[in-house]
Amino acid sequence: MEKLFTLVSTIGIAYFALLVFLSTSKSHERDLFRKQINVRAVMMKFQSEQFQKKLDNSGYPVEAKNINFIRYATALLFLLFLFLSKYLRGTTMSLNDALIPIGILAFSSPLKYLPLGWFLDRKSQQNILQKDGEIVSLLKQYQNNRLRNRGYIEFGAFCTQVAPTFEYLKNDLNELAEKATDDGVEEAIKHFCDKFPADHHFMPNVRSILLATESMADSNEAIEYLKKQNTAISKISSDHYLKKWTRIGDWAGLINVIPSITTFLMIVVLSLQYIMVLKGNFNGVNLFR
Amino acid sequence: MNNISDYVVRLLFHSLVVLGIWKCVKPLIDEQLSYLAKKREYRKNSHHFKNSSKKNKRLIYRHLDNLMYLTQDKYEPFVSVTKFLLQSSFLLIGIFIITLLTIQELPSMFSSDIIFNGNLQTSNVETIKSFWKLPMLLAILAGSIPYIVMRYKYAKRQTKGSYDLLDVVKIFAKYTYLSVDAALYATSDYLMDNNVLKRPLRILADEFSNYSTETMLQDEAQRFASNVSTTFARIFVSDLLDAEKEGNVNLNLSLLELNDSMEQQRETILTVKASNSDAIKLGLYGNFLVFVLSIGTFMLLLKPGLYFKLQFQTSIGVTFFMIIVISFVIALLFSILLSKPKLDYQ
Repeated sequence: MEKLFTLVSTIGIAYFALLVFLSTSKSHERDLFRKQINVRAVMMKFQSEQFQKKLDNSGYPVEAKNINFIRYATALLFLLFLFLSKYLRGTTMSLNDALIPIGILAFSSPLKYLPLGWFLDRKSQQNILQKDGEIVSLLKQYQNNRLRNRGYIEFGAFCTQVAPTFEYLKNDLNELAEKATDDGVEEAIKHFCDKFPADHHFMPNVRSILLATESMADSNEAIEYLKKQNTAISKISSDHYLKKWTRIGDWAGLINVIPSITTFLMIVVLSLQYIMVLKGNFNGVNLFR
Repeated sequence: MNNISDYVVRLLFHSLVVLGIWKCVKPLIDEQLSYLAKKREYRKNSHHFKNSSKKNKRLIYRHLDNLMYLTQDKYEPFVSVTKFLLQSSFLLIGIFIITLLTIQELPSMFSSDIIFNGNLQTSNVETIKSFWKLPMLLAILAGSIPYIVMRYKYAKRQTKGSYDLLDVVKIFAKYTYLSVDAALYATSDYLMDNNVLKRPLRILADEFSNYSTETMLQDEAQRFASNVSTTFARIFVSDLLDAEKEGNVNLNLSLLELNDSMEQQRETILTVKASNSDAIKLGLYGNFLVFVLSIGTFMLLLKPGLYFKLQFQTSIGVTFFMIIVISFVIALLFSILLSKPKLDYQ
């Protein structure tokens, strides 16, 4: 009880000191206080570009600063409550208790090999896979656009028109359309293609196809070109599939042998152990008697 | 022995009571649901006109709705999800009540313990407090079973749907002279009954025949594509949308191209499967055969009793057994993954 009163009085004195400080200080000091320590300024401290980028890539519409705030706040609150309860009970804090907040922070860290970071990386990889399929479909629609009888829709407008039909590419396409009107079509296409990883299996082709087609005024020529390129893309995708799954199959073959090998190994070990038991001298203890 | 059968019979009666309540309540709920669904449909339309659809709000609802879309043969937009939620929650509550009742009638270990300890006043409160934990756990487990089953079914049907799309494209190519909705109806009529996409195609056709805004149509088309979730489904859907907008002059050619690339990809998949067939067979049953045969001979050479002692009463034996079981499961998963790939470029 005494300790509780100590705590309450400490908090009260601190609050009182703050009030005194605010009332006696000059106006510019007070302004400083108000500007530095308000909710928005504190939240901005938690913003992290890298984390935000990872979240965007993985397709979750959340802000990095909110997550960071929650992370640190839970860890701090946990520490605070731990400290208070220990203090009230009169026991000291051990090192193990401090490990839990650290664990919380590590678990939710966006770094590559920690749980949340790993999960986000996985998710963004899956997103890129989905986007691959949508790009093939986009090229098909791009070809259809040129097939119109009377003229074709200009690139930016085409992008905004098809954007709602895609699930994963929607935001990218809207951005592409906006950039196409601002900076010109070529710049926009470059920017769009640079978003994908550099070693992507058909993105360089898509980039050159889009750039080449945009410079063709004659629709018939463009249609012929696009048809050829579309078959080429589907061939590339097919080859990529073959390569990828043969590699996975090789690994799976190796992994699938493990149970059989382990069985054989186990039988050898068990029979060795049996022989040891028969000798009656297994670590000096007779096991089965 | 007598006691156990007694409690089993009690458990049975409890479950009978709960089942009876469900049977009584279900028709009432069904009627109410279909009425609500109709009302909701009108309201949704007016919402679309106001252009204020709250998309991110109902994440769980949309997730379940998408699962139902493929898994249920008699899918209805609002009714299926609500029915599912009601059934799951009723299962949860029912199992909770049944286990709670049965456990309370069991001669519990807690109460005897407390009687021996001597403080009878706290005993009642404490037993009740500790009673709800096990039933709660069981109820949550039982309540999540329908969801897990549906997830499994969904994954299976997605794979099947990716192959069924090939039939759809082939038949649809025959009806390209019709308008899109009529062609979709005709296609879904001519599909085999075991085709997974039969119902989704009808829903898509309904949407094509009476959409009021373009966003509604695009949403529904996107839903079809994202549920089949392959490149080819996306191309198919975008072809349909294009035909709806621009007229179906190029549709036939475009679909035939799509058909060609699908056939090509199917061949690739077959080659991959053939080259991986060793790994698949080993994972599916080869490992098990090896295990049974070698352990069997080993058991014959020794005596079974001795073998079990060696296997389960020495630390090495138990460790090996654990490793084998875990690697069994991993190998099985790998071969299931390899043996049923989607018809896609991924």
